[in-house]
Amino acid sequence: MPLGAQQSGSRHWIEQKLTRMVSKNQSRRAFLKQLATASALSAAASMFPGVMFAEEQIKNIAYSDLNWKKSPCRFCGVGCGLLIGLKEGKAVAVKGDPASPVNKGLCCVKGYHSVMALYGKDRLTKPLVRKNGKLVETTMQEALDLVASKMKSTINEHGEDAISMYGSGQWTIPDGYVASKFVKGVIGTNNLEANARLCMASAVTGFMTSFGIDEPMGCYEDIDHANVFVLWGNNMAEMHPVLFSRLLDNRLKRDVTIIDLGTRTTRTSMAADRSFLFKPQTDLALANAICYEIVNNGWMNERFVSKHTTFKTGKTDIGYGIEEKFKFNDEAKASSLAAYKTFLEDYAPEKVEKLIGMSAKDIKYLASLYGNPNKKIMSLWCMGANQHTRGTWINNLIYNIHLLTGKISTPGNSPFSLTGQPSACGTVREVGTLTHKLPYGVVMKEGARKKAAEIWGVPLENIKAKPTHHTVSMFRALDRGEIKFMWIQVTNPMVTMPNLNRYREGAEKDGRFIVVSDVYPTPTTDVADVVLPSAMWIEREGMFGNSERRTQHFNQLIDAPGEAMSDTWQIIEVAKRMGHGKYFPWTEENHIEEIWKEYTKFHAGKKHGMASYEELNKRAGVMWPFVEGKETKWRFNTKYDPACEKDSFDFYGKPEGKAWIWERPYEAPPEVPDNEFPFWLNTGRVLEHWHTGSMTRRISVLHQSVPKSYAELHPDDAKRLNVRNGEKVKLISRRGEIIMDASINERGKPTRGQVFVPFFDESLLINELTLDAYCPISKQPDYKKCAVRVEKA
Amino acid sequence: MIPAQGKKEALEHFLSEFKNLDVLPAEEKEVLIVVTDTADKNEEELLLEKLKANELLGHITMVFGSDPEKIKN
Repeated sequence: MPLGAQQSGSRHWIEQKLTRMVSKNQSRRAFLKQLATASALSAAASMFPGVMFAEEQIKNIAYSDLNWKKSPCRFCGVGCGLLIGLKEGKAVAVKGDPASPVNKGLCCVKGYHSVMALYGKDRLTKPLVRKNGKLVETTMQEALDLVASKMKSTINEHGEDAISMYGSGQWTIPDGYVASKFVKGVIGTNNLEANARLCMASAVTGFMTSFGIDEPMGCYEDIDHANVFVLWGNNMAEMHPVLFSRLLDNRLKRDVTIIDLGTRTTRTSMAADRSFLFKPQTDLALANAICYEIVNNGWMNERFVSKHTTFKTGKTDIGYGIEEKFKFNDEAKASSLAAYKTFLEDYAPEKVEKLIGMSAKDIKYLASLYGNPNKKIMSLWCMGANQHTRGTWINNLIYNIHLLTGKISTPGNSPFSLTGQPSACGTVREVGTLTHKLPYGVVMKEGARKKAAEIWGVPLENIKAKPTHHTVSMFRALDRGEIKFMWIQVTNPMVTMPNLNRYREGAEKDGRFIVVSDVYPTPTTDVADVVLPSAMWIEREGMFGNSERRTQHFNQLIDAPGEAMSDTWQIIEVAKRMGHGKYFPWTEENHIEEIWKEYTKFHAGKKHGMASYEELNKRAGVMWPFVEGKETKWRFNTKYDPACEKDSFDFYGKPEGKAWIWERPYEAPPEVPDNEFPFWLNTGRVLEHWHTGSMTRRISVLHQSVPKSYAELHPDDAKRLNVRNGEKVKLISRRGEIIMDASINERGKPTRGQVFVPFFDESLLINELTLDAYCPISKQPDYKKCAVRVEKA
Repeated sequence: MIPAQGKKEALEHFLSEFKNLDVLPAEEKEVLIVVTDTADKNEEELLLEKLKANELLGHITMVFGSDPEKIKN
């Protein structure tokens, strides 16, 4: 039976074949070989849907008497359900949870190895404090006392806005909630940000500006209904392999076409039916050209457009955030279908084919897929669209395509923004751990502040009405000395910040006090004054929220090592030491359940109702809005969404229940290749490593598979530079330089004049070269485009 | 392991000569699962070097087995 063909079955093939018990006297070695074989079989299934192996070879593959417990995966935003095999107090094995509707028993190579990340040899188990320039061990009590006293003295001397907290889309929901309550409600500063600003802020502003409410209207089940998948700058085969496998599985069974749109050839391109390469930044023009074709070929769903949408214009020539204290506020003005049609005239395929680098014929073909009334279509995107100096705009423009054709909020018709971290949605977006956000609404709205003050039991005046610093601005303020204290949890900004040299030097300046909570030493702990060892993932209880609005609970399954403590409890301990214990009146035993009960008060109602703690405990995740015991799979569609109050569709995030179609033009990026720096630099990820590699580089087999970063070059450029595969090249930008191995005709192939470098390797910090320009609306930096020179080293 | 184009059978034959690994070829796809069983890290690295050096091999993706006794407390 083909593996892939069974993926959507109620019991996955892997489960049927691999859970046979082995005899108790079986040797440990044989057990390990079987475990390894099982992992390899499942990895092969995710890479090759439909793969078959001879029955006699696999019939004895089995897991032994492990105690299996559920948890969402620690890594990406897909949120695969895992079963963790426990033995002798350790997590020793992983398999996909067949009960999870997300992955139906599959995992990717990172997921299968995820538990190994718990057991790296250099795991932080004791707190460290800097004394005479060196980090030395101390006790947790002493370290927490120091953090609290330093925070207090900084506030006394310099005011609340001199302290800041920088968290993560890897924060559990309780971590983020407690951080928000502590920083915004109790201390009284909006200096709270999270690394999700670097990965999906443009998705948020895209949703907010088009629909007035965040997160996808559809769900992963759309994949099982769509006929066409258009991947906008999204190397899904490596970044979201389990979901990509679901696309491939559907292609085996149904009429399905996969289109890859990108600026380099990847594994996704290889698997797609068609792959089109466009020039960096011109996705803006491409999306408008598709809309031009839709409008001018009679493919527009006029009834849908007139009933459910309205037209808007915003500011243009909006800058790039490079100036030190750059400020920008967009302004929406009413427009009309007639004005929109005039706007699109500049984007006729023949007019923009040269700019985009795709033929008018190919652009028209792409538009025809969206325009075909008999095809259901999904657009999927992630960092390519979001890490973009016009990230909000390209999100708006993809929504425009779906709104013009009415292909939205129905099964299989779905613009779908994917995320990269396990709880970027659940924690950062839903809890609201960004400077302008609260768990419900934004700080600028009095109603939202009142609601937060009431639920948190804090004085209303504690919650400030003005946002302070987004991430880039926060690190600039640290560099300038306006922020004196920063507490960083579950993230590694000294690898991920663009224009990194500036921000590292800023963090190392005298008069700054940096606290870092993490599980391993990183370049960020290198700049810390205090390092707090954190309990990781299943070493504590928590919840993650994935890309399809699914909240997943996990229990503590194993003990944390040494003095490691959850990030939630670290914050509570510091708050107590600062005299704020009354706002966190919970015990170590009940605090996650109590936090969940308090937090979900913010979202009560049909638009964002969340499952109870008890419900989450029972199930492999629950999607919100969860209303009267039912998940809402397709929001804004009256047939599926109980919050709708209008016929057929109700985009209730916006006034009048109408979604906004935006006129957003093409505008060039701030730095383009020139004679001195003639190459584009594009950065990104690889399948085997997760983000900065602080976990996956400690998993031996993943590390061995891709042990160091590299610079992908087009073969013609390599030939011209006289560089062979594996030889050293030097990359130089206006901000830094780096020497690394050239990769030619290996995993990916950039277009001529482009170089691609993965960012997972802390010994090869590519972000020393990148530019800290950002989308003026979302404030998300663009890691995909800056100019470099490439030399043979 | 993904063999070089058209080299699946040759790669399978090459791998069959190693004593410290088992091979499971897929029936209809150009992929083989290879389970190594080495005494120590040195042997593992040597084996990997030999495998990677062979031109019949197109691509290798590694997965894991772990021993709870080796996991530090």
